[in-house]
Amino acid sequence: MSRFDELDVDALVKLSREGGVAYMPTLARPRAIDFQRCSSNQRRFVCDILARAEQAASHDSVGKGDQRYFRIEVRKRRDEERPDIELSVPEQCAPQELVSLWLRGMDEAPS
Amino acid sequence: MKAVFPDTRHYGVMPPHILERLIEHGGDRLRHSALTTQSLDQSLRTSKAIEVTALHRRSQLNEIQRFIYDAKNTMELPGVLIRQENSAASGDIAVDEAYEYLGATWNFFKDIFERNSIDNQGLPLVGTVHYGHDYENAFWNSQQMVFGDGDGEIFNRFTISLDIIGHELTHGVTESEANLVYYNQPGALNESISDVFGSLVKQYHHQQTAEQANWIIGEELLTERVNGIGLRSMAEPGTAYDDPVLGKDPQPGHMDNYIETREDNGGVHLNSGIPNRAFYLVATAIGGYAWEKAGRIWYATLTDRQLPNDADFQTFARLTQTHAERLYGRGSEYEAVLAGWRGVGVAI
Repeated sequence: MSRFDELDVDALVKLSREGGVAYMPTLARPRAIDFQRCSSNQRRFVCDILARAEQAASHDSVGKGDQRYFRIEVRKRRDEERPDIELSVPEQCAPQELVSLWLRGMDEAPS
Repeated sequence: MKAVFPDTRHYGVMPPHILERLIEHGGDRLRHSALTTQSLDQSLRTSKAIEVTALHRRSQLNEIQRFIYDAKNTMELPGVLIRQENSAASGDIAVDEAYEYLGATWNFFKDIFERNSIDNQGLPLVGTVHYGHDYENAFWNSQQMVFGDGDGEIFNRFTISLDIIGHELTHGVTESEANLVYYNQPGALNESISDVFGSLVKQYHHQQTAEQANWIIGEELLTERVNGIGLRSMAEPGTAYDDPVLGKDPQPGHMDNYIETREDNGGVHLNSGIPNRAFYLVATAIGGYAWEKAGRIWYATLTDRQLPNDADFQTFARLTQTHAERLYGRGSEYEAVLAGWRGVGVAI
Protein backbone atom coordinates (compact mmCIF):
# COMPACT_ATOMS: atom_id res chain seq x y z
CA MET A 1 0.00 0.00 0.00
CA SER A 2 1.45 3.35 -1.00
CA ARG A 3 0.10 6.85 -0.90
CA PHE A 4 -0.31 6.69 -4.65
CA ASP A 5 -2.93 3.96 -4.39
CA GLU A 6 -5.48 6.59 -3.43
CA LEU A 7 -5.14 8.42 -6.74
CA ASP A 8 -8.36 8.23 -8.74
CA VAL A 9 -9.52 9.25 -12.20
CA ASP A 10 -9.12 12.95 -11.42
CA ALA A 11 -5.37 12.66 -10.95
CA LEU A 12 -2.74 14.03 -13.31
CA VAL A 13 0.90 12.92 -13.31
CA LYS A 14 3.62 14.95 -14.99
CA LEU A 15 7.05 13.55 -15.67
CA SER A 16 10.12 15.19 -17.17
CA ARG A 17 13.86 14.71 -17.22
CA GLU A 18 15.70 17.81 -16.15
CA GLY A 19 19.16 18.93 -15.18
CA GLY A 20 22.26 18.78 -17.33
CA VAL A 21 24.75 21.41 -18.31
CA ALA A 22 22.05 23.42 -20.05
CA TYR A 23 18.30 23.52 -19.61
CA MET A 24 16.62 23.10 -22.93
CA PRO A 25 12.90 22.56 -22.36
CA THR A 26 12.63 20.48 -25.51
CA LEU A 27 15.08 17.94 -24.16
CA ALA A 28 13.14 17.63 -20.90
CA ARG A 29 10.50 15.86 -23.00
CA PRO A 30 7.71 16.56 -20.55
CA ARG A 31 4.99 13.95 -20.42
CA ALA A 32 1.61 14.11 -18.73
CA ILE A 33 -0.52 11.13 -17.81
CA ASP A 34 -4.17 11.95 -17.37
CA PHE A 35 -5.78 9.27 -15.21
CA GLN A 36 -9.17 10.03 -16.73
CA ARG A 37 -7.87 8.58 -19.98
CA CYS A 38 -6.42 5.46 -18.35
CA SER A 39 -8.00 2.13 -17.49
CA SER A 40 -7.88 0.95 -13.87
CA ASN A 41 -5.07 -1.45 -14.82
CA GLN A 42 -3.11 1.41 -16.35
CA ARG A 43 -3.65 3.59 -13.28
CA ARG A 44 -2.37 0.79 -11.06
CA PHE A 45 0.60 0.34 -13.39
CA VAL A 46 1.52 4.01 -13.06
CA CYS A 47 0.95 4.07 -9.29
CA ASP A 48 3.28 1.10 -8.86
CA ILE A 49 5.98 2.93 -10.80
CA LEU A 50 5.47 6.07 -8.71
CA ALA A 51 5.83 4.04 -5.51
CA ARG A 52 9.14 2.60 -6.73
CA ALA A 53 10.30 6.03 -7.87
CA GLU A 54 9.53 7.46 -4.45
CA GLN A 55 11.90 4.96 -2.87
CA ALA A 56 14.66 6.25 -5.14
CA ALA A 57 13.77 9.92 -4.76
CA SER A 58 16.16 12.33 -3.14
CA HIS A 59 15.26 14.98 -0.61
CA ASP A 60 18.54 16.80 -1.13
CA SER A 61 18.91 19.30 -3.94
CA VAL A 62 19.20 17.08 -6.98
CA GLY A 63 20.82 18.22 -10.18
CA LYS A 64 23.86 19.69 -8.46
CA GLY A 65 26.91 19.81 -10.68
CA ASP A 66 24.67 19.48 -13.75
CA GLN A 67 23.60 15.93 -12.95
CA ARG A 68 20.32 14.92 -14.58
CA TYR A 69 17.21 13.88 -12.68
CA PHE A 70 13.58 12.98 -13.22
CA ARG A 71 10.99 15.34 -11.85
CA ILE A 72 7.53 14.02 -11.03
CA GLU A 73 4.51 16.11 -10.16
CA VAL A 74 1.29 14.50 -8.99
CA ARG A 75 -1.98 16.41 -8.76
CA LYS A 76 -4.88 14.60 -7.14
CA ARG A 77 -7.19 16.97 -9.02
CA ARG A 78 -5.93 17.87 -12.48
CA ASP A 79 -6.95 21.52 -12.22
CA GLU A 80 -4.99 22.23 -9.07
CA GLU A 81 -2.39 24.90 -9.60
CA ARG A 82 0.27 23.33 -7.39
CA PRO A 83 1.09 19.64 -7.26
CA ASP A 84 0.16 17.62 -4.19
CA ILE A 85 3.27 15.48 -4.47
CA GLU A 86 6.64 16.34 -6.01
CA LEU A 87 9.47 13.88 -6.41
CA SER A 88 12.99 14.30 -7.77
CA VAL A 89 14.76 11.11 -8.71
CA PRO A 90 18.46 11.26 -9.62
CA GLU A 91 19.09 9.70 -13.01
CA GLN A 92 21.57 7.26 -11.48
CA CYS A 93 18.87 5.87 -9.20
CA ALA A 94 15.84 5.98 -11.46
CA PRO A 95 13.93 2.68 -11.76
CA GLN A 96 13.91 1.35 -15.29
CA GLU A 97 10.12 1.46 -15.36
CA LEU A 98 10.19 5.19 -14.65
CA VAL A 99 12.64 5.79 -17.48
CA SER A 100 10.46 3.76 -19.78
CA LEU A 101 7.33 5.63 -18.73
CA TRP A 102 9.06 8.93 -19.46
CA LEU A 103 10.44 7.71 -22.74
CA ARG A 104 7.52 5.73 -24.12
CA GLY A 105 4.49 6.81 -22.15
CA MET A 106 1.89 4.10 -21.73
CA ASP A 107 3.23 1.90 -24.52
CA GLU A 108 4.20 -0.82 -22.04
CA ALA A 109 1.19 -0.45 -19.79
CA PRO A 110 -1.54 -3.11 -19.69
CA SER A 111 -4.76 -2.29 -21.49
CA MET B 1 7.41 42.39 -15.06
CA LYS B 2 8.46 38.87 -14.28
CA ALA B 3 8.16 36.23 -16.98
CA VAL B 4 6.54 32.92 -16.17
CA PHE B 5 7.93 29.87 -17.86
CA PRO B 6 5.36 28.06 -20.00
CA ASP B 7 3.54 25.34 -18.13
CA THR B 8 3.49 21.95 -19.77
CA ARG B 9 0.52 20.53 -17.90
CA HIS B 10 -1.61 20.13 -21.00
CA TYR B 11 0.54 17.45 -22.56
CA GLY B 12 -1.37 14.20 -22.83
CA VAL B 13 -0.62 10.53 -22.62
CA MET B 14 0.49 10.57 -26.22
CA PRO B 15 3.99 11.93 -26.70
CA PRO B 16 3.72 15.68 -26.18
CA HIS B 17 3.95 18.20 -28.93
CA ILE B 18 7.56 19.02 -28.18
CA LEU B 19 8.56 15.39 -27.96
CA GLU B 20 6.88 14.76 -31.29
CA ARG B 21 8.80 17.64 -32.78
CA LEU B 22 12.04 16.33 -31.37
CA ILE B 23 11.42 12.81 -32.62
CA GLU B 24 10.20 13.94 -36.02
CA HIS B 25 13.12 16.25 -36.55
CA GLY B 26 15.71 14.46 -34.53
CA GLY B 27 16.54 11.72 -37.01
CA ASP B 28 17.38 8.08 -36.49
CA ARG B 29 20.41 8.62 -34.31
CA LEU B 30 18.54 10.83 -31.86
CA ARG B 31 15.72 8.30 -31.61
CA HIS B 32 18.24 5.56 -31.07
CA SER B 33 19.87 7.65 -28.35
CA ALA B 34 16.57 8.02 -26.56
CA LEU B 35 15.80 4.33 -26.80
CA THR B 36 19.19 3.17 -25.59
CA THR B 37 18.92 5.38 -22.51
CA GLN B 38 16.76 2.78 -20.87
CA SER B 39 19.16 -0.14 -21.08
CA LEU B 40 22.04 2.08 -20.07
CA ASP B 41 20.23 3.31 -17.05
CA GLN B 42 19.67 -0.29 -16.08
CA SER B 43 23.40 -0.97 -16.20
CA LEU B 44 23.99 2.10 -14.09
CA ARG B 45 21.56 1.01 -11.45
CA THR B 46 23.22 -2.33 -11.12
CA SER B 47 26.68 -0.87 -10.98
CA LYS B 48 28.54 -0.75 -7.73
CA ALA B 49 29.39 2.74 -6.68
CA ILE B 50 33.10 3.20 -6.29
CA GLU B 51 34.48 6.00 -4.17
CA VAL B 52 36.81 7.41 -6.76
CA THR B 53 38.48 9.77 -4.34
CA ALA B 54 39.68 6.75 -2.38
CA LEU B 55 41.56 5.52 -5.44
CA HIS B 56 43.92 8.48 -5.65
CA ARG B 57 45.94 10.21 -2.98
CA ARG B 58 46.14 13.97 -2.77
CA SER B 59 49.19 15.73 -4.04
CA GLN B 60 51.36 17.00 -1.21
CA LEU B 61 53.48 19.04 -3.61
CA ASN B 62 50.92 21.40 -5.10
CA GLU B 63 51.25 19.54 -8.37
CA ILE B 64 48.54 18.49 -10.75
CA GLN B 65 47.40 14.87 -10.80
CA ARG B 66 45.12 13.79 -13.61
CA PHE B 67 43.43 10.43 -14.09
CA ILE B 68 41.33 9.86 -17.20
CA TYR B 69 39.10 6.79 -17.33
CA ASP B 70 37.03 5.26 -20.12
CA ALA B 71 33.52 4.06 -19.22
CA LYS B 72 33.46 2.19 -22.54
CA ASN B 73 29.90 3.32 -23.20
CA THR B 74 28.56 1.97 -19.94
CA MET B 75 27.43 4.11 -17.04
CA GLU B 76 29.75 2.55 -14.52
CA LEU B 77 32.20 4.88 -12.83
CA PRO B 78 35.04 5.47 -12.90
CA GLY B 79 35.67 2.91 -15.69
CA VAL B 80 39.05 1.77 -17.01
CA LEU B 81 42.10 3.97 -16.37
CA ILE B 82 43.54 5.08 -19.71
CA ARG B 83 45.83 8.00 -19.01
CA GLN B 84 47.41 9.54 -15.94
CA GLU B 85 49.86 12.30 -15.14
CA ASN B 86 52.87 12.49 -17.43
CA SER B 87 51.76 9.56 -19.57
CA ALA B 88 51.72 9.91 -23.34
CA ALA B 89 48.69 10.86 -25.37
CA SER B 90 46.34 7.93 -25.79
CA GLY B 91 45.21 8.66 -29.34
CA ASP B 92 41.61 8.74 -28.14
CA ILE B 93 40.54 12.33 -28.72
CA ALA B 94 38.07 12.38 -25.83
CA VAL B 95 40.69 11.05 -23.40
CA ASP B 96 43.30 13.51 -24.58
CA GLU B 97 40.96 16.52 -24.62
CA ALA B 98 39.83 15.71 -21.10
CA TYR B 99 43.46 15.40 -19.98
CA GLU B 100 44.46 18.68 -21.62
CA TYR B 101 41.48 20.73 -20.50
CA LEU B 102 41.49 19.44 -16.94
CA GLY B 103 45.08 20.62 -16.93
CA ALA B 104 44.17 24.01 -18.39
CA THR B 105 41.56 24.51 -15.68
CA TRP B 106 43.93 23.44 -12.91
CA ASN B 107 46.60 25.82 -14.28
CA PHE B 108 44.18 28.71 -14.44
CA PHE B 109 43.18 28.43 -10.79
CA LYS B 110 46.79 27.95 -9.70
CA ASP B 111 48.29 30.72 -11.85
CA ILE B 112 45.67 33.35 -11.19
CA PHE B 113 44.38 32.55 -7.70
CA GLU B 114 47.14 30.32 -6.29
CA ARG B 115 44.50 27.68 -5.71
CA ASN B 116 45.70 24.13 -5.19
CA SER B 117 43.16 22.22 -7.26
CA ILE B 118 39.39 22.15 -6.87
CA ASP B 119 39.30 22.00 -3.10
CA ASN B 120 42.52 24.01 -2.60
CA GLN B 121 43.91 20.90 -0.93
CA GLY B 122 45.37 19.09 -3.92
CA LEU B 123 42.36 17.05 -4.99
CA PRO B 124 43.35 14.75 -7.88
CA LEU B 125 41.43 15.53 -11.06
CA VAL B 126 39.49 12.52 -12.25
CA GLY B 127 37.52 12.39 -15.46
CA THR B 128 35.57 9.62 -17.17
CA VAL B 129 34.91 9.80 -20.91
CA HIS B 130 32.65 7.74 -23.19
CA TYR B 131 30.00 7.61 -20.49
CA GLY B 132 26.86 5.88 -21.74
CA HIS B 133 25.72 5.66 -25.34
CA ASP B 134 25.31 9.00 -27.11
CA TYR B 135 25.01 10.52 -23.64
CA GLU B 136 24.13 14.21 -24.01
CA ASN B 137 25.68 15.70 -20.92
CA ALA B 138 28.74 16.39 -18.81
CA PHE B 139 28.59 16.71 -15.05
CA TRP B 140 30.47 16.92 -11.76
CA ASN B 141 29.32 14.34 -9.21
CA SER B 142 31.19 15.79 -6.23
CA GLN B 143 34.09 13.43 -6.87
CA GLN B 144 34.91 13.52 -10.54
CA MET B 145 33.95 14.80 -13.97
CA VAL B 146 31.92 12.71 -16.36
CA PHE B 147 31.64 13.27 -20.12
CA GLY B 148 29.18 11.86 -22.61
CA ASP B 149 29.91 11.48 -26.30
CA GLY B 150 26.84 13.46 -27.35
CA ASP B 151 24.33 12.13 -29.82
CA GLY B 152 26.15 13.51 -32.86
CA GLU B 153 22.98 15.20 -34.07
CA ILE B 154 22.47 17.96 -31.52
CA PHE B 155 25.56 17.64 -29.36
CA ASN B 156 29.18 16.84 -30.12
CA ARG B 157 31.34 15.06 -27.55
CA PHE B 158 31.38 16.99 -24.29
CA THR B 159 35.16 17.01 -23.96
CA ILE B 160 35.37 19.34 -26.93
CA SER B 161 34.64 22.53 -24.99
CA LEU B 162 37.27 23.91 -22.65
CA ASP B 163 34.81 26.26 -21.00
CA ILE B 164 32.41 23.39 -20.29
CA ILE B 165 35.20 21.52 -18.50
CA GLY B 166 36.07 24.70 -16.63
CA HIS B 167 32.37 25.13 -15.84
CA GLU B 168 32.04 21.65 -14.35
CA LEU B 169 35.21 21.83 -12.30
CA THR B 170 34.12 25.20 -10.96
CA HIS B 171 31.08 23.44 -9.55
CA GLY B 172 33.61 21.59 -7.42
CA VAL B 173 35.23 24.85 -6.39
CA THR B 174 31.87 26.35 -5.43
CA GLU B 175 30.99 23.18 -3.53
CA SER B 176 34.14 23.51 -1.42
CA GLU B 177 33.62 27.24 -0.82
CA ALA B 178 30.20 28.88 -0.53
CA ASN B 179 28.38 25.66 -1.46
CA LEU B 180 25.50 27.66 -2.87
CA VAL B 181 22.15 25.92 -2.61
CA TYR B 182 21.18 24.53 -6.00
CA TYR B 183 17.77 26.17 -6.23
CA ASN B 184 16.31 29.53 -7.28
CA GLN B 185 18.69 32.51 -7.04
CA PRO B 186 21.54 30.83 -5.12
CA GLY B 187 21.34 28.00 -7.65
CA ALA B 188 21.44 30.47 -10.54
CA LEU B 189 24.48 32.08 -8.91
CA ASN B 190 26.04 28.63 -8.62
CA GLU B 191 25.52 28.13 -12.35
CA SER B 192 26.66 31.63 -13.24
CA ILE B 193 29.88 31.27 -11.26
CA SER B 194 30.63 28.13 -13.25
CA ASP B 195 30.00 30.00 -16.49
CA VAL B 196 32.14 32.94 -15.36
CA PHE B 197 35.18 30.85 -14.45
CA GLY B 198 34.61 28.41 -17.31
CA SER B 199 34.76 31.35 -19.69
CA LEU B 200 37.80 32.78 -17.92
CA VAL B 201 39.61 29.45 -18.19
CA LYS B 202 39.07 29.58 -21.94
CA GLN B 203 40.04 33.25 -22.22
CA TYR B 204 43.22 32.63 -20.19
CA HIS B 205 44.10 29.58 -22.28
CA HIS B 206 43.78 31.62 -25.47
CA GLN B 207 45.13 34.83 -23.88
CA GLN B 208 42.07 36.81 -24.96
CA THR B 209 41.06 40.18 -23.59
CA ALA B 210 37.48 40.86 -22.58
CA GLU B 211 36.98 42.59 -25.90
CA GLN B 212 38.41 39.68 -27.90
CA ALA B 213 36.43 36.97 -26.12
CA ASN B 214 33.09 35.95 -27.58
CA TRP B 215 31.55 35.13 -24.17
CA ILE B 216 29.77 32.07 -25.60
CA ILE B 217 29.53 29.00 -23.36
CA GLY B 218 29.93 25.66 -25.14
CA GLU B 219 30.44 27.08 -28.61
CA GLU B 220 31.87 23.82 -29.94
CA LEU B 221 29.16 21.63 -28.44
CA LEU B 222 26.30 22.11 -30.87
CA THR B 223 26.62 20.29 -34.16
CA GLU B 224 26.45 22.13 -37.44
CA ARG B 225 22.89 20.86 -37.84
CA VAL B 226 21.75 23.10 -35.01
CA ASN B 227 20.97 26.73 -35.65
CA GLY B 228 22.97 28.09 -32.75
CA ILE B 229 26.36 29.34 -31.63
CA GLY B 230 26.53 27.60 -28.23
CA LEU B 231 24.63 26.78 -25.08
CA ARG B 232 24.57 30.27 -23.62
CA SER B 233 25.70 33.80 -24.37
CA MET B 234 27.03 35.73 -21.39
CA ALA B 235 27.02 38.95 -23.40
CA GLU B 236 23.50 38.61 -24.76
CA PRO B 237 21.61 35.94 -22.81
CA GLY B 238 18.77 34.45 -24.82
CA THR B 239 20.52 34.63 -28.19
CA ALA B 240 22.67 31.47 -28.24
CA TYR B 241 20.32 29.34 -30.35
CA ASP B 242 17.00 29.44 -32.13
CA ASP B 243 16.41 26.06 -33.68
CA PRO B 244 13.44 24.00 -34.92
CA VAL B 245 14.47 21.08 -32.66
CA LEU B 246 15.85 22.86 -29.60
CA GLY B 247 13.56 25.86 -29.64
CA LYS B 248 14.83 29.30 -28.64
CA ASP B 249 17.42 30.04 -25.96
CA PRO B 250 15.22 31.01 -22.97
CA GLN B 251 17.79 32.84 -20.82
CA PRO B 252 16.95 36.31 -19.51
CA GLY B 253 19.62 38.98 -19.15
CA HIS B 254 17.76 41.39 -16.87
CA MET B 255 15.68 41.18 -13.71
CA ASP B 256 12.71 42.53 -15.65
CA ASN B 257 12.57 39.16 -17.39
CA TYR B 258 13.39 36.97 -14.38
CA ILE B 259 11.76 33.58 -14.86
CA GLU B 260 9.62 32.21 -12.03
CA THR B 261 9.46 28.47 -12.55
CA ARG B 262 9.54 25.20 -10.67
CA GLU B 263 11.40 23.57 -13.54
CA ASP B 264 15.19 23.39 -13.71
CA ASN B 265 15.48 23.68 -9.91
CA GLY B 266 13.79 27.04 -10.05
CA GLY B 267 15.48 28.12 -13.25
CA VAL B 268 19.12 27.74 -12.24
CA HIS B 269 20.28 27.45 -15.87
CA LEU B 270 17.82 30.13 -16.96
CA ASN B 271 18.20 33.03 -14.54
CA SER B 272 21.97 32.53 -14.46
CA GLY B 273 21.87 34.71 -17.57
CA ILE B 274 21.35 37.74 -15.31
CA PRO B 275 24.55 37.49 -13.19
CA ASN B 276 26.35 36.21 -16.31
CA ARG B 277 25.59 39.44 -18.12
CA ALA B 278 26.49 41.46 -15.04
CA PHE B 279 29.95 39.90 -15.09
CA TYR B 280 30.29 40.53 -18.81
CA LEU B 281 29.35 44.19 -18.33
CA VAL B 282 31.85 44.57 -15.48
CA ALA B 283 34.67 42.82 -17.36
CA THR B 284 34.20 44.77 -20.58
CA ALA B 285 33.86 48.08 -18.72
CA ILE B 286 37.15 47.45 -16.91
CA GLY B 287 38.76 46.16 -20.09
CA GLY B 288 41.91 44.11 -20.60
CA TYR B 289 42.15 40.52 -19.38
CA ALA B 290 38.94 39.71 -17.55
CA TRP B 291 40.64 37.35 -15.10
CA GLU B 292 42.93 40.10 -13.79
CA LYS B 293 40.35 42.33 -12.12
CA ALA B 294 36.73 41.31 -12.72
CA GLY B 295 37.66 37.65 -12.20
CA ARG B 296 39.58 38.50 -9.05
CA ILE B 297 36.59 40.39 -7.62
CA TRP B 298 34.28 37.44 -8.36
CA TYR B 299 36.75 34.92 -6.92
CA ALA B 300 37.19 36.95 -3.74
CA THR B 301 33.40 37.01 -3.41
CA LEU B 302 33.05 33.27 -3.99
CA THR B 303 35.68 32.45 -1.39
CA ASP B 304 34.47 35.00 1.17
CA ARG B 305 33.08 33.27 4.24
CA GLN B 306 30.54 36.07 4.45
CA LEU B 307 28.83 34.69 1.34
CA PRO B 308 25.93 32.60 2.67
CA ASN B 309 24.96 29.39 0.89
CA ASP B 310 21.49 30.82 0.25
CA ALA B 311 22.74 34.10 -1.20
CA ASP B 312 20.46 35.85 -3.66
CA PHE B 313 21.65 38.07 -6.51
CA GLN B 314 21.60 41.20 -4.39
CA THR B 315 23.62 39.65 -1.57
CA PHE B 316 26.22 38.42 -4.04
CA ALA B 317 26.28 41.78 -5.83
CA ARG B 318 26.87 43.68 -2.59
CA LEU B 319 29.80 41.43 -1.78
CA THR B 320 31.33 42.06 -5.20
CA GLN B 321 31.03 45.76 -4.42
CA THR B 322 32.82 45.23 -1.10
CA HIS B 323 35.65 43.30 -2.73
CA ALA B 324 35.99 45.73 -5.62
CA GLU B 325 36.55 48.52 -3.11
CA ARG B 326 38.90 46.42 -0.96
CA LEU B 327 41.00 45.39 -3.95
CA TYR B 328 40.97 48.54 -6.06
CA GLY B 329 39.51 51.38 -4.02
CA ARG B 330 36.64 53.53 -5.21
CA GLY B 331 38.01 53.85 -8.72
CA SER B 332 36.87 52.76 -12.15
CA GLU B 333 36.71 49.07 -11.14
CA TYR B 334 34.33 49.89 -8.31
CA GLU B 335 32.17 51.99 -10.63
CA ALA B 336 32.19 49.19 -13.22
CA VAL B 337 30.84 46.75 -10.63
CA LEU B 338 28.04 49.12 -9.63
CA ALA B 339 27.16 49.80 -13.27
CA GLY B 340 27.31 46.11 -14.19
CA TRP B 341 24.74 45.09 -11.61
CA ARG B 342 22.63 48.16 -12.34
CA GLY B 343 22.69 47.12 -16.00
CA VAL B 344 20.89 43.88 -15.21
CA GLY B 345 18.45 45.42 -12.74
CA VAL B 346 20.07 44.22 -9.51
CA ALA B 347 20.09 47.07 -7.00
CA ILE B 348 23.05 47.19 -4.63
